[in-house]
Amino acid sequence: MSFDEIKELLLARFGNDVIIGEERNGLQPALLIRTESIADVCLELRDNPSTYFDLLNCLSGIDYGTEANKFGVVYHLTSIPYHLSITLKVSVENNRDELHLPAVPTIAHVYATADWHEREAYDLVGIYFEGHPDLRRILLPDDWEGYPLRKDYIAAEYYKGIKIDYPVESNNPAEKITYKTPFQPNPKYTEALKRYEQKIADAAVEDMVLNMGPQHPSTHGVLRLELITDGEIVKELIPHMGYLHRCFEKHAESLTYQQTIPFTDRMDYLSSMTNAHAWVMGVERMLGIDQDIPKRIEYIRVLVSELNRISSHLIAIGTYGIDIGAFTPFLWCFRDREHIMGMLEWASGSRMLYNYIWVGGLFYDLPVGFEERCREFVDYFKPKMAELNQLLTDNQIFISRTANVGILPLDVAINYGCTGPVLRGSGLRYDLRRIDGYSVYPELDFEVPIGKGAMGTTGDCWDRYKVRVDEIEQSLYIIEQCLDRLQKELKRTPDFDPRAKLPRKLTPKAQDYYFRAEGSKGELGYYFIHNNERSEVPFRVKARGPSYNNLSVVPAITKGVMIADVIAIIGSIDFVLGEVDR
Amino acid sequence: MELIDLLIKIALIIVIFVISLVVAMYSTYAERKIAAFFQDRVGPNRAGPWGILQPLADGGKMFLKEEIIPTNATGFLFIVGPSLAILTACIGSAVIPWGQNLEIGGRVIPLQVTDINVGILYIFGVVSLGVYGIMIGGWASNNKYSLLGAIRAASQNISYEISMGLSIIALLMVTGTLSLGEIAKQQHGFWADGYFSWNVFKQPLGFLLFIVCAFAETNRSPFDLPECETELVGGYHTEYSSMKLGFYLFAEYINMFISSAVMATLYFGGYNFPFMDLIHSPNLVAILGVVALFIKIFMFIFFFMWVRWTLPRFRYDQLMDLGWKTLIPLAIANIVLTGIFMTFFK
Repeated sequence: MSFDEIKELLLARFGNDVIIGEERNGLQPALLIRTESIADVCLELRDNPSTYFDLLNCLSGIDYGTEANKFGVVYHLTSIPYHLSITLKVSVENNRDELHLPAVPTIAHVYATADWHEREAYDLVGIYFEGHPDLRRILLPDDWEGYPLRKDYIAAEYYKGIKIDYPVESNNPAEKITYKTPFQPNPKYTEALKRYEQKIADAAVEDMVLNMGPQHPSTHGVLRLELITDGEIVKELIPHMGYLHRCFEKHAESLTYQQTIPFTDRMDYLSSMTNAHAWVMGVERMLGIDQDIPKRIEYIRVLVSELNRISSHLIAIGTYGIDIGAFTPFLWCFRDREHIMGMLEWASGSRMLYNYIWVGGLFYDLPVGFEERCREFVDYFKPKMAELNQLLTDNQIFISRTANVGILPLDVAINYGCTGPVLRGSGLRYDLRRIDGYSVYPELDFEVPIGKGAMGTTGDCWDRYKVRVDEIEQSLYIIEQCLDRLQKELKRTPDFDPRAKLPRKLTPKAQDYYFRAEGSKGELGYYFIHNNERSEVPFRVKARGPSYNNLSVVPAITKGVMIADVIAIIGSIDFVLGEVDR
Repeated sequence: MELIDLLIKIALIIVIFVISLVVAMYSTYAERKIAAFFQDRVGPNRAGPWGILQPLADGGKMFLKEEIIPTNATGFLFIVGPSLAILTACIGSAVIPWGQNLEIGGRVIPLQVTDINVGILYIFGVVSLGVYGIMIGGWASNNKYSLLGAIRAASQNISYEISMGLSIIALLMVTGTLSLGEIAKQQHGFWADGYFSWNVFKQPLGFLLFIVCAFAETNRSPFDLPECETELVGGYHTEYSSMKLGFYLFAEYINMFISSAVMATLYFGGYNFPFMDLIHSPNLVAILGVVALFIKIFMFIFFFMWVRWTLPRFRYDQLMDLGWKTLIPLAIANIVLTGIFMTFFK
């Protein structure tokens, strides 16, 4: 179904005034929807048998600048059955009065993903979503003042006695820094916070409120899970995050595309290569140079990304072993990961945060001998993987701890925007490397492993774990194919320069572009808004971290389980807090 | 009792006490080296040659660390907890026969502190007391994780004591005595009357049940739920620091040593070893017997560690299921089978 047909469908269903405009100038056409109808439009697009837009990829809140005084929300929808994507936009005029935020109807009842994305938009851009069930701040502290991604945002000097801003001292009185003055928020916007506080207070009387994290051995970082438990049975789980919020989107608004690459490394710091790969491909497509990249560079990018995917999955598997109580697999995984880190360090100069893939090329060609060493690693690693499977995957206690635990049905997974191994564990063969076929993946042969419920029910923790184990094997297969090409027809030549195609200036045309790629945790998306033809700096960037969406499903599948199962479930989701909090 | 006998007893008690502490100390070292071996690592190798001074360094560290008693903890019970844990761990060794009697200068020196006629019941009593240290410590910490750990410890120990007791009953039917000294004596040599003399060959199922329960009673993996790090941070000892934490950890290793000694005595012939009748010097037999017992003990300790670094942990309800729905019925079946066997084949 084409863009125009979808438009016709909506006009026929809701009348002529539902679409107030369209944008066709960029790579991705967008429909401008009347603000009040957005929830109905989404519901129709989701449930109509000819569209089935069942996955909300990304929801971005946008401040269009102080001159426009306009706020907007952009929805990226995907139809998994029809392989369709569409962009919807709504916008609201607002005079930036903090007591009256721009209001947009919520779509959290249509897509459960929207729940957290809307909270984020409220938190960072200050858009109020009417009818949202729990509109609290999500990344910033509850009592933070102001909305940092607004273009007129002024930081307060102190937050609870902690100095926020360290400006360069200036003698010029005209450059005197003004700070935000405290204000009382509109009580309407703190209702959800009061409801939440009341809920915890009530629970503390009858049940036990157990704070798991942010310093807890199994939350894989600084995640705080607030558990309301009845003895060992969990009644409700409320995640709190933001402890690792490093303002990625704010940084990206003030740095050029090339300068932001090191920041993408720090999102999912366990698979930095895939993060940078996705970012670079997005920028290259906006610049229109994605077809000019030499094949050798593309193959090297895929090679290092897949190596990084293996190392990321090794951590997922190893730490999952620890979560279940098996310590030894963890160290085996780290031992093997060390070889990958050594190789990537050899190529890029850094062990975790590589900054290796650049827009239009690479930081440097692979070092001489890399291909041979990589092949040695593949040969070494395959038997190690078999050994690991004997120790952990087929262990009866491990199976009884993970099979039939934390079952994530496919419809719930899609509705919550789960992607990557979590979605595949629920039995859907959905891998963007295959679906979108970006880079040189169409030329490579690999399978997309899915959960089959071999030990219990499809979508249980064991399936999610097993998908990762199988993906490691597939990645090894991809690596072997890349090495074959890199050692034969794409062999290094003396005059090969991986920086030859680097653009002098990274100035794309003014456009919106959402690019998505398969990170090791799932769909990693970047939504770029570029509106100044002469600038190298994007107007707004929204990063859609797969971990953020995958984590949002945890409260839904932990009702009524035991405390030990909570650990098994969050371990099987495999999130990285660097990407959740960005 | 003569004074000299009293002095010999006191010396024996001190020797056994010191040996249990040293074995427990070096169990921590062995655990780390064995874990390192399983995990392709080197393990501790900084303190002394091959790191053999590591336990001393750890002990020194434990003593010198800051001692923290949380404001909301119950001060007195907070101290009683680890003290009780280490106390009950140490007194279990009193009834274990470490070897045959030594004869020095015409005086018979028994290598057993006391051979009370209800030795097994004494061991059971001590083991049951052991859980109080954990419960009191976990409760007095006033921490939710500690409390959950203490509750888990209590229910786990109570459940597994039952199947442990039932598996022992079948053994008692075979031996006909509660005295550990007597049981060790009955397993003389390795082969007697056309069959193996060690009890493990007479009670294979009973031994299997006993060793599973021993893992649970010592809170060792895969039954280490009371302190399970990934769920309960530190379990019952979350709030403990310095030597009080050291006592808890140390008690676990002493318990492991004592339960290995009990298993070796009850099922693996204690101080008996094959071909011991070929040696005619009784003192040499006694000394070799002690060596044999310690070899058996170290094998068990190695087995404890081997399991810990191989298997994942059970979930709380699975642990209870295993205890109540599998081990207890099996133990009862073992008693019935033993009875049938004894009635018809003896």
